[in-house]
Amino acid sequence: MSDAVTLSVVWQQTSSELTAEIKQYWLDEGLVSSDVADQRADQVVVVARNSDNSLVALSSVEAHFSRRFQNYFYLFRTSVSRRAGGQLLSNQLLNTTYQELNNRYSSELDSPIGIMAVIENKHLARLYYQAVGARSQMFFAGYNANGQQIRLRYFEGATIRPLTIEK
Amino acid sequence: MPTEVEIVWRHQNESMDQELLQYWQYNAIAVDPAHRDKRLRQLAAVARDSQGSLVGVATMSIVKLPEFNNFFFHYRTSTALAARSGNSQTDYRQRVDTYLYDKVFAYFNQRYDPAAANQPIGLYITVSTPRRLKVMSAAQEPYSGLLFVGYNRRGEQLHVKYFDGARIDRVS
Repeated sequence: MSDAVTLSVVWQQTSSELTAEIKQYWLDEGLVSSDVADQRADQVVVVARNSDNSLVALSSVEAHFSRRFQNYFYLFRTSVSRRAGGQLLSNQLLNTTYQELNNRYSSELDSPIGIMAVIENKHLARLYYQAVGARSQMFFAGYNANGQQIRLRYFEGATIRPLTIEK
Repeated sequence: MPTEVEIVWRHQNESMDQELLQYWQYNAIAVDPAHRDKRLRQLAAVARDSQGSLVGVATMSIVKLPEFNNFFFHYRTSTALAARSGNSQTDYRQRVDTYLYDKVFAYFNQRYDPAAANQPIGLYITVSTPRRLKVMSAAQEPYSGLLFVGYNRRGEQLHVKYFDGARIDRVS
């Protein structure tokens, strides 16, 4: 589909109308169950609309403490409607999300120091063979216990939280 | 301090071995006698001052990091006692360990072949001492490009740098 798509940052400014629209999008796409939809809607950072102003993709993040890294990251998720299209839009969502969160990076202890993505889809994982993604700059940070790729990109100037006690 | 760096990876030079043994002894660098021969074979590069004396050494071993299921060079450096004080005072670009790192990375980066499987896709360092932890507090170190990739089981930080165009080997 070659329909023009517009991206908007909505991080921490989702209205009740937008929340309802996001929940309907997830319901239509069969992506997020209704019991967690409210919580997940608050995590949306970027939405993408087609020329009909219909929501066709979005990104969301959730603060996550990684035991292996002993640091917080924003766990990145994205969904792209079958009506929109594909890998290029996912990358646009990722880069726009990164820029927004990078601008807001705080060096305070326990603030997320970057974006983390876990490649859960086996078919998608086959496409991620570059140690450093050419478009996204997300780099390979190993596999999790489920054998899924972990990809990271640090915020500019991010500092490592010192190793203290294990959480 | 003018520093010349020479790549000596996989050398078979007995006089170099003797020089390295003296360097370790003179600079109080502990090397387990049981692993001495293995460490000699891991020599990757040497740095010399304008008099030709050894002022720094880089060693590398090839390791498959379990969390990555990929091969890396485990990169280690040491600096001679006489050059260490300069390390803390001078511009990092003038440091002996920076000279070594830049030369070694460039050498292996140039030889990296993305089409070849089961070969190191970059190098990694471990950081454990309080002084080094303070120096390596950046998640992405601005000069070297080293990226923090978590802690190992001994609580040491791991930092990696990938070769240009590096391709990961998949989980089998």
